[in-house]
Amino acid sequence: MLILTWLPGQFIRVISDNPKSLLTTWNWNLVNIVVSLAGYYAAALLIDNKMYGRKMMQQVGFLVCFLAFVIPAFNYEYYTSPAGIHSFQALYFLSSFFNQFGPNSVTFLVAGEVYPTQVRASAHGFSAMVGKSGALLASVLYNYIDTKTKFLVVPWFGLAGMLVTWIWLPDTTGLDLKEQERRWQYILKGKPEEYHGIAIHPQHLSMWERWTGVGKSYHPALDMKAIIRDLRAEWEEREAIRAGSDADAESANLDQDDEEEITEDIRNYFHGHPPPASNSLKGEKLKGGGSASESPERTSDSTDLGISEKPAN
Amino acid sequence: MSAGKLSTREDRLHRGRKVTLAFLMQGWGQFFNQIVLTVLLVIFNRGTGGEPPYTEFAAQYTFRISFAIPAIGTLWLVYYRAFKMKSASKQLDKAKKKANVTGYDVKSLKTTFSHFGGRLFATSTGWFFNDVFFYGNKLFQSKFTEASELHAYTNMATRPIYPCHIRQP
Repeated sequence: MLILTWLPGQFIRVISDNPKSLLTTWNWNLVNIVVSLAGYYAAALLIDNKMYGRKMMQQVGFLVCFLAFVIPAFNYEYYTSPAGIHSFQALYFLSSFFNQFGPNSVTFLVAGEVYPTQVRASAHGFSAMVGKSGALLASVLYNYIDTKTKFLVVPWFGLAGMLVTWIWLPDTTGLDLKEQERRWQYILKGKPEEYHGIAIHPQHLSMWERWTGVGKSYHPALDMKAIIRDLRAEWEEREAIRAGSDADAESANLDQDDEEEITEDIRNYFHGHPPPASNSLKGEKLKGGGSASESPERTSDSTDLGISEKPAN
Repeated sequence: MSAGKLSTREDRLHRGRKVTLAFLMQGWGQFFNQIVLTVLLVIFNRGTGGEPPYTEFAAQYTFRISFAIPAIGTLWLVYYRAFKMKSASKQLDKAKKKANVTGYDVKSLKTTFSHFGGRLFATSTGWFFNDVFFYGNKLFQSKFTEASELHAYTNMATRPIYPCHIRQP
């Protein structure tokens, strides 16, 4: 009934013409909202968990919605009779819960995450547009078919959603979005195969992308060399700027946000004095919670490579 | 925290939770919307305790006030976004600078369609299928309520759960 609040005219007509109590409907709606809220919180709890995460959550959510509607669809008389009404109710609330603890939370999130920053808003908007046409379809279609037919039509959308998720959706749970950007630079240069980083780790690709061989160029060691090369270029550029505007303390402050990417340890490494390797991780831990240099992985990476790179020089 | 700090550990481990916790405010919004609607109907449909027949007056005031209340929040949000969020596009500007782009990045958009076609298909049709469900679900509710109401009357041994089931004489 909530949908009717969208259309003021309709809303007034429904209220004024309704011979039955609106409060009955509205109280059930409140129960349904509380069930949904439980679903939202369950989603928040598990969406970053690598054992469950976004993709699995969306698939399971679609599957349960499919089941919750396909079961009464083929036994409609029983489920709408007094004997079956409690099971019907249970299925309905289950579908509400798993709709939130599933596609309704996840579609919103992944439609942004799987794209690089430059087009994130556009791609998210495009997905939302297609998505809302689904809402339009439902609202129009349901005016033309009776309730029993609705139950026969709707479940298959859940099944289709599960399949599409399974085949085409990559899992961005735990992925550093900066890697998405790095990969995008290689794609824009027309050399996607030269990117070897974590964004094309099979775990972060869709099944479709794995089939088409996107993940073939994943190579952590080569990626680390590329990171060091890029960081060195960035560092040299910055040193040049620094040398140009020496003793200009204010411009250094303005650049503070950029400085975060090049930590003290990285600077030392490029200057030719890598810090003692055994200390680097401990040092990070002691600092723990400090927001000044929050990239322990990258720091330790550079230290490790500092050791392996030396013989080559 | 600035809007664009994307490479931190915090972001990787809790990004989804943060977005979802913001998104779930939709749920609280629905919750309070429903309570406000109920209270307003009881207030404006005078002397009936919210039961029919409903007057035109009650319907008008119920829906107008229920829309006016969230409008306050929306206006505040517009103000906040326009004047208080200074670094909202910081990360985008950085990415554009790196790729030597001024204005809208048309090339990136085109490349998205050619290179990330599968992802676009997944995120858009996934959303589509979900919305058929989400809004369909809302529409089913009327049928479902009818059925359970029917149950409340046919099975008199079951006590009504809600006080509103008890009609005023």
